[in-house]
Amino acid sequence: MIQNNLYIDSIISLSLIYGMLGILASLILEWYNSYVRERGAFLQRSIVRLLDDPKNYNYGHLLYQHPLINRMRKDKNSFPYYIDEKTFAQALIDIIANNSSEIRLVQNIQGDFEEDNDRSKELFSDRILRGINSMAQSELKFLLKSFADQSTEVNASGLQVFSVEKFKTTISDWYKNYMDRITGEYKSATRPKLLIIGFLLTLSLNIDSIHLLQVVINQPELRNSLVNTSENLSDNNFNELPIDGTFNLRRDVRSDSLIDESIKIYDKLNHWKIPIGWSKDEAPLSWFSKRNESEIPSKIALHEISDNSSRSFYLYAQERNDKADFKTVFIYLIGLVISTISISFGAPFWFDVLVKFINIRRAGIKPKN
Amino acid sequence: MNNPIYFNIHTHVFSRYCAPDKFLRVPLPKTLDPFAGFIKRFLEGGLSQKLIQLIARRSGSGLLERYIQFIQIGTQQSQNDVYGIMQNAYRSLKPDIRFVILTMNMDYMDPSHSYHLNINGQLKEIERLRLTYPNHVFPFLGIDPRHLQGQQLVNWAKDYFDRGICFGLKLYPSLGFFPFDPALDQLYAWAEANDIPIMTHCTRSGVFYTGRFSDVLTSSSPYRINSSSTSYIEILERIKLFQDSKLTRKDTKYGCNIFTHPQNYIPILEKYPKLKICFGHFGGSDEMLGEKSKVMSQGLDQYNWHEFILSLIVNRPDFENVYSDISYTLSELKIFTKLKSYFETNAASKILFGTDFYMTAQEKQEEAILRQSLDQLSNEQFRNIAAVNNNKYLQSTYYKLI
Repeated sequence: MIQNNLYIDSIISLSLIYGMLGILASLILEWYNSYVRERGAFLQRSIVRLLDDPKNYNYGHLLYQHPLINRMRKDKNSFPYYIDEKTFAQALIDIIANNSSEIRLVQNIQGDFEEDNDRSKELFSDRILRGINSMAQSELKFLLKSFADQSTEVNASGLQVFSVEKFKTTISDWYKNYMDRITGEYKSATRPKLLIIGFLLTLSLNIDSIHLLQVVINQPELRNSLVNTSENLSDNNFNELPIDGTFNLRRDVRSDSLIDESIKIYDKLNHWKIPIGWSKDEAPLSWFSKRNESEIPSKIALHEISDNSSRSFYLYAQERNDKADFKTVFIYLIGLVISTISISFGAPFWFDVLVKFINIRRAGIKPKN
Repeated sequence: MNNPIYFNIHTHVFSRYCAPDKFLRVPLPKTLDPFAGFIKRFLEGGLSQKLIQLIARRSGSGLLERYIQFIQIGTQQSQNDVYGIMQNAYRSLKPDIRFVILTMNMDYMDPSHSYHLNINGQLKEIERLRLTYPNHVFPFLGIDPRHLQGQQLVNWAKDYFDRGICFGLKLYPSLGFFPFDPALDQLYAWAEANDIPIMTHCTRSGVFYTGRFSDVLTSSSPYRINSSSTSYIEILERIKLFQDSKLTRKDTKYGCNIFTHPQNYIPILEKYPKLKICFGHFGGSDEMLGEKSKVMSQGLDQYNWHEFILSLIVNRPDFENVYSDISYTLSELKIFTKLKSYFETNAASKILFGTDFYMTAQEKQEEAILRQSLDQLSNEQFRNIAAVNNNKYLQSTYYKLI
């Protein structure tokens, strides 16, 4: 039984803190991406790449001109952040069907041009097949042709008929799989930005990892409370936290909900009394503030502290906050660097670590019954 | 003409997606070649767009504002959006004006792979624009002999004309081809037979092939239409001069003048004398104003392109359908004095009104250019170039003036 092991409990506590900060960084990054419309642009680039067909057209660009997608734009400089598979399939099928239906205008006797409506009416399913067949031989044509073949059903009279619904489902599934892959790419592409956000978050919340570790090791109440919270969250599968939802391109994200979620995470960190934030009694502000002798904690008589570990923590805190020498400043800066890197790992990484160590901590516990 | 139908004979509405990913190799110095794709993507990105919108809101006609407005138009998401901006500029002064929209085949202007909307895709968008504004949008078909050749090219083009989508052909030789390329021979024959207007870019500046010059100028004696024409003596000498000059990628901008040179059209016109062809930009404002030092800084040959085009119009009655437009050139106020003097000559019926939207956004706003033209020209002069001449130029088997 490894319960109450100082190291394991400290790792769990730190994982919880970094995990929460990771969520906060992800939310800020998603808010930024939504503000500068990066998410929509990434999705557009991915779809353009998927539907690139130099032998015919780039169907990706045409897809974005389709009224189903075009009307999803917030304004004319933005792209929709999210396109569901049904809309994608519907718009693509429409474009393919229109491949074969030609626009024709004729000049009337007044000299004006009008659309020639004498075009023969054709079944939509036939137009799709004709649209695919009219494409120049290319990889995309091969793929669409194969999807069309898979969408052929035998009807009651034993005849093979092309099912538009089945074709739509096949295209939806293809898009869904592609989006799953692209979500991974999106996460990798945002990694450098996450490092920058991590750095800004570290600075704005004054997150010194070395200090965090010291506090977690030396303050059993805080450590126990964090471990208990971790266990509760883990038992509930982190349901209340948006761990992996933010970078999912298959999920719609609204900037107001991102702000609400960020505030909730920050409130939680505050509520747990995590030693982060700026205070004139804490490094680095304490290095610059001139305080009365009576206000300096070091003036409390050391003999009042009986426990050895509390004494050493007290001496550490005194040195950290009151001595702005090279060693203290260097250790503080190292603490910031560690925080930045740790936050940039992201919440899923830290919650994985947390779950693993909770399982180790629980190893050997006898079942209650 | 009781109710004149005005045309702007030279406009562009291509969006950022119609241009190759490395299109910015055109304005950027050669050293930034490897970053051209990244810079284009950055300019199209959300943060840049926010900044562009912020600066574009500032009123003024300083260099920064002008370039920002140009970038703002050029980075629109669709040709429909760009058309909307152009239409807006004419709302108060000439709301009923019609626009000749010149599509461009930019698929071969850069050797690297690109995810842009190719010419067929660009035309798919244009078809919808034409359907939305059937009496105001008159597209010209972007031609490149590297795309299709001979009868295949004619068949491809004919389909757009038969369906009432396109009304003329657009050549942009500085993208890396000679207009006398034999692949275009059948197209010229078909165009001549049907009075189809051709618009060609004919100034030393503009867009050019962005790869190595030697990729596109492969021979000092290229295959050519009407190869027995005596004009080739001088043309081939010039080609040799350009080839011997060992122009590098840095000089492609000047090197591509070899393709655009107005003399390249003489053998074509000798073979198809009734070919209706408009030399865009009247050779450019520098040449029109005779600013020789500026001209020579841009090319290796001595010709004044403006004078060459003018002499073709004035002195060659055998080439009865040669026109020129004042697009882009008209953004320079000083050209109007010279232009008005041409109205007294037999060139008067061969000068067309066009603005070259949105390329001119680098100089002035479209509304300001239109206002300047209306201020500088009398009503009759403006009606002649924008309605009478433009309509005459546009008439063909596929467009009748009723």
